[in-house]
Amino acid sequence: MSIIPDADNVLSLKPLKPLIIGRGPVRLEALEVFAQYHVETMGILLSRKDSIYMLDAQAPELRCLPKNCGVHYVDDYLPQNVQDYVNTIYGICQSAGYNSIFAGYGFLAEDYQFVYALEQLGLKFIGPSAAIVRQAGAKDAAKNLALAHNCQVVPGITIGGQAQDPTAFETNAEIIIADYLTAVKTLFAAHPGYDLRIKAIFGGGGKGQRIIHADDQDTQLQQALRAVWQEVGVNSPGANKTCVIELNLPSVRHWEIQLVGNGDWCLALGGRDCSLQYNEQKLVEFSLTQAGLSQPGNEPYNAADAQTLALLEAEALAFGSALKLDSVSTYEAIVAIDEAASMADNQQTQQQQHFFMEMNTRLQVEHRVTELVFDLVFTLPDNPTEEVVVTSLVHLMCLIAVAGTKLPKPRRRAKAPWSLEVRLNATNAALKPAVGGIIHRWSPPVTTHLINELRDDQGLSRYNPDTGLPLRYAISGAYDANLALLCVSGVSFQAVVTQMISVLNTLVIEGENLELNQLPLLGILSCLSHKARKPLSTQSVFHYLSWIAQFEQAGFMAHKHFLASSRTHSQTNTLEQLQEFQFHDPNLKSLAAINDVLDPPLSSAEYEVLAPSGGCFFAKPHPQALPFIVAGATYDAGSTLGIVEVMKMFNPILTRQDVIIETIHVNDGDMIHKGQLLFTVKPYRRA
Amino acid sequence: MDLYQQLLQEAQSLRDRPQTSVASKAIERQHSKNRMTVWERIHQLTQGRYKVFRRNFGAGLDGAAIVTVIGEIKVLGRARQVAIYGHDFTQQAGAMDATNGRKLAEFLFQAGKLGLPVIGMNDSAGAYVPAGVGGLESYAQAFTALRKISGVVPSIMCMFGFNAGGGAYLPRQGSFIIQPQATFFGLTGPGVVQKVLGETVAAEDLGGPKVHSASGVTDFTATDEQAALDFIPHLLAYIPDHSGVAPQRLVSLDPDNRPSIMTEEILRDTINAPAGFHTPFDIRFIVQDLADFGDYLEFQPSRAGNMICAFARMSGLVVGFCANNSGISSGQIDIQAANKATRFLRFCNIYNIPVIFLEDTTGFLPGQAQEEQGIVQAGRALLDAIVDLRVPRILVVVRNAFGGAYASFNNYATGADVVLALPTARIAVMGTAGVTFVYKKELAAIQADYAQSCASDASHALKEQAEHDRLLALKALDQRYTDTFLNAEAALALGAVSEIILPLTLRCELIAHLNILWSGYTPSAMGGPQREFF
Repeated sequence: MSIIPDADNVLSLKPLKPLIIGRGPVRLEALEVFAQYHVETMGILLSRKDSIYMLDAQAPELRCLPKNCGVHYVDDYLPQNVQDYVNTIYGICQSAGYNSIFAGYGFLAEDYQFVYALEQLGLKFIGPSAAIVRQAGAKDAAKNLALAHNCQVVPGITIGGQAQDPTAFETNAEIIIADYLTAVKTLFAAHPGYDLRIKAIFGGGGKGQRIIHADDQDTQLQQALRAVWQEVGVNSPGANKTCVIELNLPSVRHWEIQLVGNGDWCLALGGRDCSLQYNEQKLVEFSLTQAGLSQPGNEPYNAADAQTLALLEAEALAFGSALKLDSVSTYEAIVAIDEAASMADNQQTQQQQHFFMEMNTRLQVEHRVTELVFDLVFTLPDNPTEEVVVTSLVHLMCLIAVAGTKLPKPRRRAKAPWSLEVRLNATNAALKPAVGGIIHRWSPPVTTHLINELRDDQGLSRYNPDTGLPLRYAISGAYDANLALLCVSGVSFQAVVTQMISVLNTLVIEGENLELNQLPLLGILSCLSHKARKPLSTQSVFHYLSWIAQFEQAGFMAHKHFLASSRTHSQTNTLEQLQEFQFHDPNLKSLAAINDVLDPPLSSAEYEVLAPSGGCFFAKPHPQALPFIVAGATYDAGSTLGIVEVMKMFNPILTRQDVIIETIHVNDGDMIHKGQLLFTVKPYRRA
Repeated sequence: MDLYQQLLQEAQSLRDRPQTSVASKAIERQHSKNRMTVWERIHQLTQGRYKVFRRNFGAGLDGAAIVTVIGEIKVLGRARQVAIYGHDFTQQAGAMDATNGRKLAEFLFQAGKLGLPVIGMNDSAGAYVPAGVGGLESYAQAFTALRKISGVVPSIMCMFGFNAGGGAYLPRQGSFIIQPQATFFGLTGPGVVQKVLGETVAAEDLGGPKVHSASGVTDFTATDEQAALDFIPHLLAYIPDHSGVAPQRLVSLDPDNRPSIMTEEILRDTINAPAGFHTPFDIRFIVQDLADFGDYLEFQPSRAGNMICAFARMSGLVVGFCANNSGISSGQIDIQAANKATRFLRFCNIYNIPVIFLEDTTGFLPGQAQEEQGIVQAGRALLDAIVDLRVPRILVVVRNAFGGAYASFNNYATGADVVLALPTARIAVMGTAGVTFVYKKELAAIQADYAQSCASDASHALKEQAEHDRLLALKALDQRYTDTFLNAEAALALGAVSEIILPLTLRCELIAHLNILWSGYTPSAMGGPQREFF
């Protein structure tokens, strides 16, 4: 039973006139929710990079824009100055008649200053209110709140000011650095053998984090802190430089609990396992539900996991209720095996530790995983016999934005025990971002009686609405490398993995110079269905990559031709081979060795350094700094010669040998392509 | 088994002969080269909906290495009939023997008679050497037939495998060539080239897609065979079945009055850049902005980027864009650019496709190199192709329209139906170099003043002042020329430009004009006298 859209009741979205200010798959998802529930006025922001930055790189949503959707051009979705941006948005809302803002999962969605400013101007922010963002979003304040509600937290120290008092944020960088060095030393002394992790409290999405080691010199420690500030953009004098320093637990699992609330009630909607990450970016996410984890024979999960989920859900709920959460948020945790307790217990069952990490006060990319396992069922106060089912968290956010505390508390209804999402990214086999490809055609999503693929691709696979023919799309690299989210749900862990393998195997994306992570994903999932699979953890991605590399070495997966040949002839079943493959090569333990197999260095003469990938070349670590290299000087093997920025990832270009730089062929800020000659060098032999 | 049953069985085995006579080894060999057999290609293209013609042709009753079928391809929601021929590489390497030239020629004439587009799946080693002169005769018959139906029905030629000699000439007589990666075609392969000329060259560097797409021998490249086949309906969507009709017009969901925001923004960025009017920009941004849903198909995209030729739809009507691109070589028209545009315009003219010209060029490229290679002839061919256009045609002066380029690039005098100009238009005989011709007296006066002030007894400071004054005066003269001549006002006054269009309304205005012109145009086959030059 779906919602009664036009009824003038508490579940109507009629009062909403939203402006979507973010991009990514959620923009189209929101447009679809608005259209489905008869929102009359809506609009999107369109950045110049999404429209005129590069040919054939127009926002794919434009292929399927509803008639009543306004389009408003801005320079970028990420403003230089938040206050100016707020004014711009306010101006647009005033002239086009929008009364609310939907920020998707962009940075601004959890920016206190931004949300607060919008609220002050009388615009409804569809998402957690400024008060919640301030309390829960600042990583130190959230930690204190968690401690107050008996949630376990990772040992650590906050530097740079009290989050409760925003004026105290304006602290001089020098003082912070002194505090920081003291804090680092204290933590290293108290927890020997551990590395530390610094996180800017306004970071997120893998940005604003660095790992530091006990044997780092003071200058290296300082550099790490400055790099964190730089990434989050808080280098200016008045900006909030607060950071959290805590233990870095090397091989752990990243679990998170989905919370929803309206300020009055709060609900937990199970969890998500986001352990499979690479370069701090999530790749594969599984749903976590009691029903799923309690099933027998669902390795790599076990009974201890079900117990941990129950504890985490309870803690998250206590946290969310204490906070009076008034939209959606994610309670992020890490789960580790407690070696000491396991031994003392002397039993077969594992003892697990879990720690609260932080609260994400916004919708997350992987929210579809939750939507596929739980529905929300509302019973209307004036019509108790009628049930209204909400299947989308975006829809729920809108309902809360309209009705607030008047919205009755729904009950969650289980739909499936398992779901799985993979992120289809423009990266090569070694998962490094790859730009410059042009997509010509996508195959349609898989819908059979066994598989129901949910494809969140921003509209990229939509054909020209007039001709029904595919449209070109250039992967410009102006934004992140993510192209689409592919999701499935099913009755068991094995079922969702098998389904996704099928989906990835069937997916055809034709084009020029395309490098996608389709094959690594296929490899990882095949490994997960392989009998020798390892439990999911932040380290297991390396493990699986090494398997894929071995497979590649064994010559089974000529990955460049694999897809084309399976499409035209389908002679060999590569997947079966992969599942039967015996993995053993001990030489592929290091990431460098894996990369050499999956992304072999370009063969160039000894005296030439070629661009490892396309992107933007930077000759200096930051605009004010001196260049990394000058012609005529000598550099040791392993030195950084320059940086290539690809889709917000800063990849250093390292020299593999001791060299003298003869000629530099590129300028700071140049756009370069893969294989381009960057420097002419002369090998240098030390006396 | 009764006699009748036996007859049926023999008949069935005859019907199957073209496929069953091929050794499975030959098919495997084709697959191992990552190539499909001709039957697989036809199946992939038509999804199995095809009718074979002259199934058992040839002494071996096996089709004689050439397959001719009428197939169906789904384009724009309709099933369109096409005449498909393909060389069967699994038989005598797809070579033409003494008899199958006639089979192909008659099939091509049939396509012309029925008004069906031709699809060629070329995979032929050339003439079958054991057939002697018969193989050559065969090719000659096919050449003649294809030339006779050229301009009657369009043809799309896929270059699969390794094609030499006649196997290269025949497809190039067709309208469009699609060449996948890892294929070769050319006069003769690297082996013979080595023997005859002593040149050692890889097949890829001799006749691969990179070589041919740079010279215009290949119009489109594709990643592999399947991608080439997938591209065919894409191309067919823009072209009609034959020259007596126009391409199918659709109803577009993209509003006619959608503001041309991209055009506005790219012009703003360009003109406001430090180099001002001299800033190059990619004209394809405007093509993309004008087209329905930003969808356009660029013709010969790997060659002569200074001249963009593209098919697109506006308000559902197929149009050809012919646009100078200042982003590459300042948009000057060189031999390659002229040849590309000539070829494109002649196609549009024959197949009832209206043309929109976007002009932004300072002229034809002069210089010794171009003259030696015959820019006069190439430029003349372009001019003739423009004069000969009978389809509706519109000129938009985007920015520069100087000299010979203005005179030949679809102005009213050469037959344009409508000439529009954007506010950035500058129509003149030449750029600021024109100062020398227009202000002879003023220039002489400046020079005289300067000479006087710099008399030998003048102080150093005075000389410096004189130099400064001279430069200022020259700059002022440049400005005066720019203000007086480098705009569209004179052209408006003379009626050479119909009106100035604000960039945001460009799509809307063009569609309005197209609708008027289209309503008065009746698609028909070309007639009239043959002109001397091609």
